[in-house]
Amino acid sequence: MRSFYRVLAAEVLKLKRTLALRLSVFSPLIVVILVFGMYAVRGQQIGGADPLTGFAQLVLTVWTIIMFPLFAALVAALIAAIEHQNETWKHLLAFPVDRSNVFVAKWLTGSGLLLLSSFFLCTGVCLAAEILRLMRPDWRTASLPIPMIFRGTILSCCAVGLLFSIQMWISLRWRSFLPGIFVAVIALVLMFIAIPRGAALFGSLFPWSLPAMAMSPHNVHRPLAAGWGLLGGVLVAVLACWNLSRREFS
Amino acid sequence: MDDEFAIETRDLTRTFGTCKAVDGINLCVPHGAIYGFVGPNGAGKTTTIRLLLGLLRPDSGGIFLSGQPLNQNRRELMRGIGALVETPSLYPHLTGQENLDLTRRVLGLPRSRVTDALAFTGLTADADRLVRVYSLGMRQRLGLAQAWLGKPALMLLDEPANGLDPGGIRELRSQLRQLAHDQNATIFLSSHVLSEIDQVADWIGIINHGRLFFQGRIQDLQREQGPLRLVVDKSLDAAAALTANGWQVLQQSDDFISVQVASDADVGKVNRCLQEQEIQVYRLERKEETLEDLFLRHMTN
Ligand SMILES: Nc1ncnc2c1ncn2[C@@H]1O[C@H](COP(=O)(O)OP(=O)(O)OP(=O)(O)O)[C@@H](O)[C@H]1O
Ligand SMILES: [Mg+2]
Repeated sequence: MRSFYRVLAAEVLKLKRTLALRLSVFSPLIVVILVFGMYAVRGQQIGGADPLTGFAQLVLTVWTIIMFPLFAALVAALIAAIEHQNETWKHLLAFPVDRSNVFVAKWLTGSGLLLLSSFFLCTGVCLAAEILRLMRPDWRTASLPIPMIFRGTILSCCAVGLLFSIQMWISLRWRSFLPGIFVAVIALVLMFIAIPRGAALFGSLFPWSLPAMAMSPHNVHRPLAAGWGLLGGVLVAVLACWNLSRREFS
Repeated sequence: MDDEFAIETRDLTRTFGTCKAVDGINLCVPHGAIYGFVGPNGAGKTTTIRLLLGLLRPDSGGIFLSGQPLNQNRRELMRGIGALVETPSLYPHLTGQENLDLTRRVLGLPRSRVTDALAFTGLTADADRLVRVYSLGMRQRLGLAQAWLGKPALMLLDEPANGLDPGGIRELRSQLRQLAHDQNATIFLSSHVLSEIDQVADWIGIINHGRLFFQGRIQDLQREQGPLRLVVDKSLDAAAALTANGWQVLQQSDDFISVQVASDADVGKVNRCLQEQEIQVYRLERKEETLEDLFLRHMTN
């Protein structure tokens, strides 16, 4: 167990100055700023009766439908690229530790980044809502649905597990980042075709649409999406670590 | 298995498709030796080192480190090994110090080891610069620092002098000797630059096309092989006389001949044989073949 913590400590240090780490701050903030801009400029028209709930809802929707799955795929690709690009597998896999520890540690650091981005999303939404309140005196009394924001973010975090594990497996397995990005893009296109046609059950089973389905308060299969994402993610991660630690990396 | 050897392999074989990269190699590397593993490009040196580190699985054959089978004790055995395989494994977005700190964290070593390793390889002044801006030689030094960090009993160094300047190479040699003699470490280093190995190694293995052609002490190799060169007055007669007496004449020109001899005693016999034929011998020299000559001869055979 101690050797696992050591490997994990090394993996965390590796994230320093990486694009993956920067993206986990910037990608949620970009979504927040975009939607904030819309509400700041056209708040009168799109605000409605409950403007801040609408604001939070829109941020979460944009985030979970497109940005979060894409970000998870990107984090997987970037974490794998740290080793692929610098040809460091030969050093990493010759350490006197179980190889599965190395891969589990990678999964955990990646998951850490996903959590970090969700944290910045929540913080960003709340801050932006406060600024909107200051900017629009008529919104001063509008309520911000904080429980809804947190519940949505936490459930989408659970739900992203499955697609993240699949993306990690692909990214670590192949040297090139293309297979991982290719799969993510195809899957997202498939999701956009399938889900608006009312395929709520399919959406709650299809890995790349799970975050959006787990976030949506209107989805009856919400617990299924979150649970399947989390358990499926752990299952795929275990299989992938088992498979990867038996592979030759050269 | 005998544990007098730090590394022992038995019929170690590894193929890639149809290419036999390592073909039935029996390495015997004694404890405390500096073992030079020489061969031209594509000979199978790196593949052998990857096999020794458990990064590649052999098709057949066994690997024993200090007498213990690698496939059963990989984790324990790796604790005593420091390695530099091909290019150093470094993260360019981290500083030199942070790169060493990664390895230190995994091995669970005290922080002072990083400072020591930086000083040992002369990188203290550049420790806080990003590895991205390091020169080739600086990266190589950092790779060596990484290999040495855990004070391993066995170091596997693949072309360690790559990119080092002449001063750096000399320094590396003295460091390797120091590690072998003071810390009783075993050092297995590969190279295709013969002069590097010639000056530092006490044992040598020559590999080509995945096969080990020679393995033993450097002196044995040289003594065994050096031909005798004679400057004489009548080289034609001398060659005939020697051939008639069963010596193998390798070369003959107007004023000199060279003869294959096995030992110093043979030199005396050759001289006596020529004197009996009243041939004047002006000079007798047993030219020690450089490793280069040997190497090229083994390669062309
Ligand atoms: N991953 C691989 N896939 C296919 N062939 C390989 C692989 N690795 C090595 N080889 C082949 O095995 C042979 C030995 O390669 P190796 O890298 O061990 O040579 P080397 O002695 O280290 O050469 P160099 O001095 O150039 O570093 C070569 O013919 C090479 O093409
Ligand atoms: Mg090589």
